[in-house]
Amino acid sequence: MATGGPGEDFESFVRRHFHTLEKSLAMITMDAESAADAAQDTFLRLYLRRDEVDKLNDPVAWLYRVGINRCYDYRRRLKRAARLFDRLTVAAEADELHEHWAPNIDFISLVKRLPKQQRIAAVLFYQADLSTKEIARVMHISESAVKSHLQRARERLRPLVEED
Amino acid sequence: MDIQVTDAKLREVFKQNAPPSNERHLAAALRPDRPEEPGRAPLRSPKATRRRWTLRTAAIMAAVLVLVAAAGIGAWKIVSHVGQDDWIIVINDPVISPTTGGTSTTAEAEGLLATVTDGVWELRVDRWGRLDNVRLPSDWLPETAYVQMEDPTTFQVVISEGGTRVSIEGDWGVHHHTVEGERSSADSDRIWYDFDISAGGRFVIWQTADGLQAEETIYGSGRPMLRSLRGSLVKTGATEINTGESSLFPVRVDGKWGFIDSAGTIQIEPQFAGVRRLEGEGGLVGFNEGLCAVQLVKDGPWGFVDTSGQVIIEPQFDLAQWFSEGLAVVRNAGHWYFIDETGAMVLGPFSGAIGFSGGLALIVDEEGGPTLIDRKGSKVPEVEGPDGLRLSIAGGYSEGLAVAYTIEGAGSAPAGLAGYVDESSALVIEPRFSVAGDFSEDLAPVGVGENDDVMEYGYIDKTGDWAIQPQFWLANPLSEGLAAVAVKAKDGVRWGYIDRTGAWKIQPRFDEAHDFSEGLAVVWLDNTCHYIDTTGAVVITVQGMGFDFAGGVARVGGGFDGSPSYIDRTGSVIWRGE
Repeated sequence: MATGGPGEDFESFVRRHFHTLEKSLAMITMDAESAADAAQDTFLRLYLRRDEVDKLNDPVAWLYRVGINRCYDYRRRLKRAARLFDRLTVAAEADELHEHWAPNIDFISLVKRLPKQQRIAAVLFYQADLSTKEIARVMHISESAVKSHLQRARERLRPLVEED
Repeated sequence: MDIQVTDAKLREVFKQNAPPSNERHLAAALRPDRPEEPGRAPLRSPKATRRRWTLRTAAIMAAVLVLVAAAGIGAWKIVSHVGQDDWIIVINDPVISPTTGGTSTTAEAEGLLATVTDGVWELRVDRWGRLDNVRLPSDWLPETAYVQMEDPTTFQVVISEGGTRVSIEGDWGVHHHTVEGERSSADSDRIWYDFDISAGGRFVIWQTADGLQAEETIYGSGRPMLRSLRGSLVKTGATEINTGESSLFPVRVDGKWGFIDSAGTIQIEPQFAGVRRLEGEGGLVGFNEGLCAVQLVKDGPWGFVDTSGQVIIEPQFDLAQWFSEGLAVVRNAGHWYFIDETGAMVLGPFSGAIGFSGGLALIVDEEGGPTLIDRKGSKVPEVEGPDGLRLSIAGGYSEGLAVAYTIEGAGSAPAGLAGYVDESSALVIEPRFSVAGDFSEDLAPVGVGENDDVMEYGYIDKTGDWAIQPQFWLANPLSEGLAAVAVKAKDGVRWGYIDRTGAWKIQPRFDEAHDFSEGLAVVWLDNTCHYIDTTGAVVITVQGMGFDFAGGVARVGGGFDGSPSYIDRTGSVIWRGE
């Protein structure tokens, strides 16, 4: 991989995963702004280790795990790190982002009320389309634990899809 | 309904309700660096904290208090942490025994806090400290070190923002001085404020049988203390005080924004189409450094008002942020500038800017390169280390140290390792951490590990030695003597709080735990948000989301409707959002 800048592999990997990661993080934290920071930070960390990406066992699991960790980092101000710089110019869009993201109120209230582990599992499953095996690697729990989180989340979310 | 069908429909619902794709964010992620300067290390902008020596002392005091109480020792002992590992008892001073007899409870802390109310006080300075034996600024001197003065003097002391800020003014010798500070800790015995001046200083209040006593100590840079004065603290009749920042909180009424005080009374009538809010950092801060950015008309330009609601800087900016360290970030016609309190553009144009923190600000210059600048607008140079090592400073200083990251291709260290530099830009802590946070209360949380899968967080002291061995899944900076840390549990992680020795003070049982602020911390348990006190006891439970306390008030309620509600320290709702 090129060392002089983001190589092609890095770029295609970013393109493939960026939007889904950012959206998933926003839905996990219910905070678009810290999700945006965390997504940028995650890809920066990946960029810094771009030569090692192929050495990671499971780059996708790494990405989500780091992304989720970063989110909570941001939320507790450990490291207001690596705000990327093009993002500066879109800082003004933070409010805009809130306006543009207008999720259904029932959806919000149900997802918000999911316990954190269930919410993470549900977002990774329904939004990021990860398999239960991948989610297990992201969350560092067993696949059966993932399934039980999903089962509970599904029960709580069922009203969203049963109306019709 | 069949599980597969439910899942398919839920996938659809999730995607319909996701935030829109942001192409600019993708572009930023693709180009995290300037292509023409591949070796540039990331710039980071940690949040600066202003805590200094005193919190360390306060933490030590608290620890000793517990020890003394447990041992049933009647006399009051104070220790000073003088080396890496050795704790020595310095004095045995019954003069400043707490009137409570040495037990510490929240109720008693509340008692002292309740006594020190907002308003104008007098410090009747009648004795000065002999500083011959002072070794550290954090040292607490025995009463025997203080000598009665022949001609006592009086300083004016203004306590504001629910007791969280202090401002002191008075003559000492030929000098007139003014210092301001922020409350850093409080227990049943003493309330501590840290001064916001270069070398630091403290204002400490304690109760004696004869009333309140207080100490003003100014730290030095060549010696631990420049002076230390004590006297009785007496409230004067005056009630007119200049309310400072954070004492007003933005509220929305019929779509217009105004401001309430900490009692929930409207102080600035709702009249603004927009107020610039600092959200997502634990609260919602309208005023910063006495000014708040507002929009007079919807989609109109931004200007600034003062705490009386009067326009101080005419609306003229496409966007305005908040004042920090005397300057505010604004944007006009796509260019970013820093303005001073008169509205004059003093730095810029840039193509991006984040406000000053710890003396430095992150900007994107017009060529697109991210750079740290100082208050004069000068670029912060790279730091040279030993063996050809080069580092780039990541953000502002906190407690005299700033995080710096190694630059790729320079020296033997791999790129992206974090160390710390001092204010002369000398590398003082070797770059060997994967993640590094700001120093707070003399310790910094850092992460080590080959990659995030095995990363563990611990705390280092200012020599770079481990103060608390790496063992946590995540670790926050110390705040008010406690640090929120997470450990792996069977089904995820659990958060609790440790003290500066690494001992658990509040067992890890929370799903989420935030830093302590004004003696209370936000925690989440079973999907419910609570405020706990420093013993771990739940004191307030809120519906929805709670934010940190500031000025005796906390914002509560979800972030989506944009109309905040507020509670006081008892959990009473002082304002209900529309």
